Amino acid sequence: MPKKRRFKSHGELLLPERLIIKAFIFLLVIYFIFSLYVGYVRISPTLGSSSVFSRLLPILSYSWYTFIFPLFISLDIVLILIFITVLILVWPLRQSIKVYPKPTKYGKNIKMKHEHDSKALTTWKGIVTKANTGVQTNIKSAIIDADSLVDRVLKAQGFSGDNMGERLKSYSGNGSRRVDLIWKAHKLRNEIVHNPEFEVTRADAMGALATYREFLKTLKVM
Amino acid sequence: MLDFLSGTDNIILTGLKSFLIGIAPVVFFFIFVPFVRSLWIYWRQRTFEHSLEWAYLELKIPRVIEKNARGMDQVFKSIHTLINKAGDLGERYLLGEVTVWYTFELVSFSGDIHLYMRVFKPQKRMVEAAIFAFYPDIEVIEIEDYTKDLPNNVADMDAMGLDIWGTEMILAKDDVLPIKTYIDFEKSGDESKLDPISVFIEALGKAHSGEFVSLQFNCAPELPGWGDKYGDLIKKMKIPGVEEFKSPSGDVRPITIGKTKQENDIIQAVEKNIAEPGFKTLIRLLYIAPKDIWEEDFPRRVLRGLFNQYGQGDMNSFVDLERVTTRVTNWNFPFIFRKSRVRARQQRLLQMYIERDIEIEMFMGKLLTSHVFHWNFHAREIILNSTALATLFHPPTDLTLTGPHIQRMESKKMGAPAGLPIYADEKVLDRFINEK
Repeated sequence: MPKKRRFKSHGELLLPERLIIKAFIFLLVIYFIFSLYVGYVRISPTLGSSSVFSRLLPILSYSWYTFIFPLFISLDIVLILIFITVLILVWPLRQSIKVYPKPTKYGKNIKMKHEHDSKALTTWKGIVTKANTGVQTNIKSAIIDADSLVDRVLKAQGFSGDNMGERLKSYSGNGSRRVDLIWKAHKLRNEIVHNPEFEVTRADAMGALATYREFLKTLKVM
Repeated sequence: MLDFLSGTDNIILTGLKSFLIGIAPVVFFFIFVPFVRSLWIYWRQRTFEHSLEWAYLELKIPRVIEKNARGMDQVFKSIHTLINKAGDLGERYLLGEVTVWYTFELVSFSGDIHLYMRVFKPQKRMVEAAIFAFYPDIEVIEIEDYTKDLPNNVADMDAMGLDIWGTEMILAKDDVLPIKTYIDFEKSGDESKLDPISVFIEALGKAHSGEFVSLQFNCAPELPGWGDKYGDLIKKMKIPGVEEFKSPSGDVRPITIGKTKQENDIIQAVEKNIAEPGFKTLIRLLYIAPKDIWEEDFPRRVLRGLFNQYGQGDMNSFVDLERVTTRVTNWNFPFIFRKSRVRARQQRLLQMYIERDIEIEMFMGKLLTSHVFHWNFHAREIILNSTALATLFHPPTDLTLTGPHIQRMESKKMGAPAGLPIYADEKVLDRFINEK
C-alpha cells in the first residue's frame, strides 16, 4: 500500500521553524555545559576538599547567575520590546469594533439604497417616451404612471399614509415643505382617472410632468 | 507572595526562593515566545490582507440553465487549484501570506435577487474561465462593491431606522460527515428531481421593499488530504462490533456483529466526502430591515430553518452558532448589559460581512479584535467539500422558478462564426502592414 502524505495544516510549524527551535535548544544546552565547566574551574579551588555533592550546588548557582540568568533577562527585554513595537504597529490594522460608534457620512444623509434610483430613472424615461407620442391616451397614461412613480418613491422613503394624499401631507410636515404644485398635478391625475370624458391639453400635461420631474429631483431619486 | 519564605534560618525555603527567582526569566521566555510569534504573524498577515486587491463579480443568469449543480462543483474544483499557502519562513514571517479566500453571495434587495462573487483580482480571469467553461450562457460582469450602499455601523442603522439580524452557520457534527448534496436531491429518476436552491430563491424573493437579505459563503481552499486527520475515526468506524455470546453449553465466546446497511452507507459517504477537495467555509446570514416592517421570525426561523433541508439525521446538518447570533437574552451568561452585547454582536457581524472576513488564524489577533462585550473567539470554520459547497451555492437550474425574482440575460450568447476577416478591408490591412 502506498504511503500517505502526512496531513499538513495551515498553522503547522514549518520545517525551518522546527530546525531553529531544535538548534536553539541544542545551543542552550551547550552553553549551559560550558558555563558549568567555567564555574567548576573558578569555584572548585575555593571550596577546598569537600564532597562532590556539596560542591555541586555552589557551582550550579555560580554558573546560573553569571551566564544563564543575564542571557535570559536580555532575551526577555528584547522580546518585550518587539512585542510593544508590533503592538503599536498592528493597533490601527486590527479589525476592532465599537459598540457606540459615530455615524459615518453615509448614515448622516438618510437615503435608501441607490438600487431604486436607477429603476426610477428608467421608469421615468419610459414615461417621457410615452408622453412624447402626443396621442391623447398615451399622455393620460403617462401622467398616471408619473403619479404612481412619485407615490412609490414616497412610500420607499418612508412617508406614511394610506394614500398618496396622506403621504404628501406627511411629506410636507407642518408646512415646512411646499407641495402645492404637486397637489395640482395630482388633482389633474385624479380628474383623468375619475372622468373618462376629460381631455387633457398638451400644455397642462407638459406642466404636470415637469412638476413631477422637479418633485422627483427634490426627493433625490434623479 | 514570597514574604513568608524570608526566614533566613530555613535553608530549604531560602534555596527555594532563589531557585524561583533564578528560573523566572527562563520560564517567562518560553511562555512569552509563542505570544510574540502569534502577534508578529498577525501583524504581517493583516498587512498582507490590506495589500490584496479584490474584484467584485456578478453572475447574470440566462433564461434557462439545464446544467445542475455539478457544473458549479467543477467550478469549485477548478478554483481549488488556485490554492496558496505560506510555505517558507519569508512567506510566513515577512510577507504574512494567508490562503486567499473567495466569497460567494446570494443577495436579495427588496426581493430582487443577485448572485455575487468576490475574488482575488489577479485570479479573476481564471475564475471567469472556470465559470464560462461549465456555464457558457452565464454572463460574468465586474461591478462596484454593493456593500458601499449598506449602513457602515450600528450608528448608521440607528440614524436610518434600520435593524439587523445575523448569524453564522456551522456543522452540527464533525466535518468528516457529509451533508445532503445535490446528488442526493436528484437520486430517484427524472420526475422527482429537486433543486435545493429553489427554496432560498423563493424565500429571498419574498423579501419586502426595503429589506436586505443575504447569504454569504467565504471559502478558503484547504490542502489536499484534509480528511487524513480523521483517519483514526474512520478506522474505528470500520471495526465490526464484538459481543460475547453464551452458548447453551455454558462457554462464552466472542462473536462479530456485522455492520448494518445504514452504517455501511455512512462509512461510504464519509470516505466519499473526504475524497473531494475541501474548503474552509464560513457561512454568514444577514437580514437588514426598516424597524417598522422588521420581523425577527423571518430570518430567525425561516432563513435559518431553510438550512435544515441539507441535514441528514444520521450524518451531518447545519446549526447556527449561538455565540455570534445577534440575539441575547438576560438569561444568557453574564446576564447583564443585554443591549450593549447585542449591539456589539450586530456591529461585529455587519463589519465582518462588509469586509468578508474569515476566521482569524492567530490567537493574538483574536485577542486584539475582542471587545469587552463580545470576545472574538467564537468563530468556527467548517470544512465543506466542493460538492457540498456547490449544493449551497450554484446558479438556479430550470427546475427553479427564477422569473419573478432574478433579472435574467434575455439573449442567447453564441460564439462568432469561424473564418471572419480580422481586418476591416484592404486599406486598413495595407496601413497595418506598411506602418512602421
